[in-house]
Amino acid sequence: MSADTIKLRLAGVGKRFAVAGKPDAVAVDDFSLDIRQGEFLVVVGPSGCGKTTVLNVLAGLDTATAGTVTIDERPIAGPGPDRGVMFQDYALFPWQTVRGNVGFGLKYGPAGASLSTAARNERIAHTIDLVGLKGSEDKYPHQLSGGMRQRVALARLIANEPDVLLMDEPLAALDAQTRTILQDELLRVWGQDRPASERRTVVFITHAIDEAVFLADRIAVMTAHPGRLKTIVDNPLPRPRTDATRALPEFQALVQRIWSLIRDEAYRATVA
Amino acid sequence: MPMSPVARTRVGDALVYARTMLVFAVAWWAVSRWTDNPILLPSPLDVLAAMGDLAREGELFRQAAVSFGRMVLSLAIASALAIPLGLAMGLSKTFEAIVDPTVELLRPISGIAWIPLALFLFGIGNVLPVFIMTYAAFFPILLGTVAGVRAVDRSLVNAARTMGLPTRGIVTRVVMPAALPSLLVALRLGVAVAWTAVVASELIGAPSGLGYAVEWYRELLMTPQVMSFIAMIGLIGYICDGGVRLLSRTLTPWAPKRA
Ligand SMILES: Nc1ncnc2c1ncn2[C@@H]1O[C@H](COP(=O)(O)OP(=O)(O)OP(=O)(O)O)[C@@H](O)[C@H]1O
Ligand SMILES: [Mg+2]
Repeated sequence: MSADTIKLRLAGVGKRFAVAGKPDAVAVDDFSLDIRQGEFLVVVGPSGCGKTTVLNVLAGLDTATAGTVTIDERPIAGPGPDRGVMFQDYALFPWQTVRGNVGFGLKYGPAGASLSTAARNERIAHTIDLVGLKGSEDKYPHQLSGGMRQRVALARLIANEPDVLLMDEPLAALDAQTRTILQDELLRVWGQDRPASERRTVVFITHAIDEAVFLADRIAVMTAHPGRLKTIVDNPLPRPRTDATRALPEFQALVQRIWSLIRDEAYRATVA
Repeated sequence: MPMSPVARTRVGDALVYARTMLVFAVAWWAVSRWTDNPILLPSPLDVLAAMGDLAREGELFRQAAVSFGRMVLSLAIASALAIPLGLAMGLSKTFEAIVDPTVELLRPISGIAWIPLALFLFGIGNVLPVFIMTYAAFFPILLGTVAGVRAVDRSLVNAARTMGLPTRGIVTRVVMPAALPSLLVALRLGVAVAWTAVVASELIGAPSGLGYAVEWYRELLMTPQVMSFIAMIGLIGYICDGGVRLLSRTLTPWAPKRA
């Protein structure tokens, strides 16, 4: 497979929500974007601009009211284990412990079908360790802090090793240090050290611009009301990216550029 | 030895409880002296003595066991019918539309209202009280299951769908555990109404049980015995409620704490 294969394609996608007694709310309008196989695409934009809506359409949880959405050139008709989702509100199962949540897809879904029980448990333990939750395996979600819950949700996604990772502000609730560590881990899971053709495909929503610049191959900037794609910024920073990357003048310059792109939008969305 | 705060409140609770009971017993004793009619209102000491006799002879526990067994059987039958039906109604709007009118028509009719008809059908025996109690417990359990299934967080179902669970897996691994707390609340209500119905149905339609014993001793004008059995009914109802709450805590340690 060439590195330029299109994995996900959004063509003229629109999403309206019916609102009782009012005209439909246009959440997303005429949104077109090709996401390449093995690409790390980050979406930024002001709150309420339709980022989660786009992600839900890609996940197959919501249907677009206009346009087409495809994966590997086939229309997306519903959710599937090839596209793992990390939800903005985590959606952890309250009756499952940390271990049960992380292993949910492996145990009850197709993701773990080819694994022995031992291999499955090994992967669960490894993933829990990866997000720094060792020692909390037997706790229930209501016994965890917000940041810990977010890490459980991240581990649950990673443990299933889906082809495509759709992540909605996955690190937003974490402290700066943990966030930095998990950004590195995420790049490793994605396949930063592998050739582009062997990487997973990631669509990652964030409000943190430095995070976007650190992680992304490309950054999609959205505008609000209606949610549209404003522009796509290529990120030429070399890989593998490390702590040294953040110190590069190019890094700072790119952060500034993205910020100036969304600043007006952010003001408009906040004041409006 | 200094007491932990928890132990102190426990002791405090027990004291309050004992004081309330004492006030109640003294008032009862005073009224019984004043009315001076042991058939209408025996003194608490007579009741205590009668209770002691009945306990020694074993009749108190024998009748309690019979009633309790009937209630457990009734709850099992009611659950076996109401839970699958409620699950289906909660999952499918179409199915609910078919079943709901019948349910809504029957629900306001109390179990006790069926006793005369049940007497024709089943005669006096074990079947009648079990039928009435099953009927009574059926509706709260059904409605609790439907409500529980309805209230399942969509985002949890979505999460499971993105992990590729088949419909069956979503029902057993997401909908059912998510609805369990609501179901347990409903079961608690079911126990309460079934136990209320046990006495009424045994009063008329059974040759044994606590309700039957109450009626038997009433006819003999042995009021202290009547009151002993009534006290037993209250006690068992109380214990059953505690049992269901304990069951909830054990089955759903993850649920937010309820009173
Ligand atoms: N079910 C719905 N019904 C009506 N309107 C909706 C619905 N879901 C989303 N919207 C609207 O669509 C718009 C986009 O919402 P979306 O959740 O995609 O925003 P977002 O970019 O993810 O915001 P945030 O950064 O705050 O998470 C918002 O204006 C929102 O009010
Ligand atoms: Mg969002």
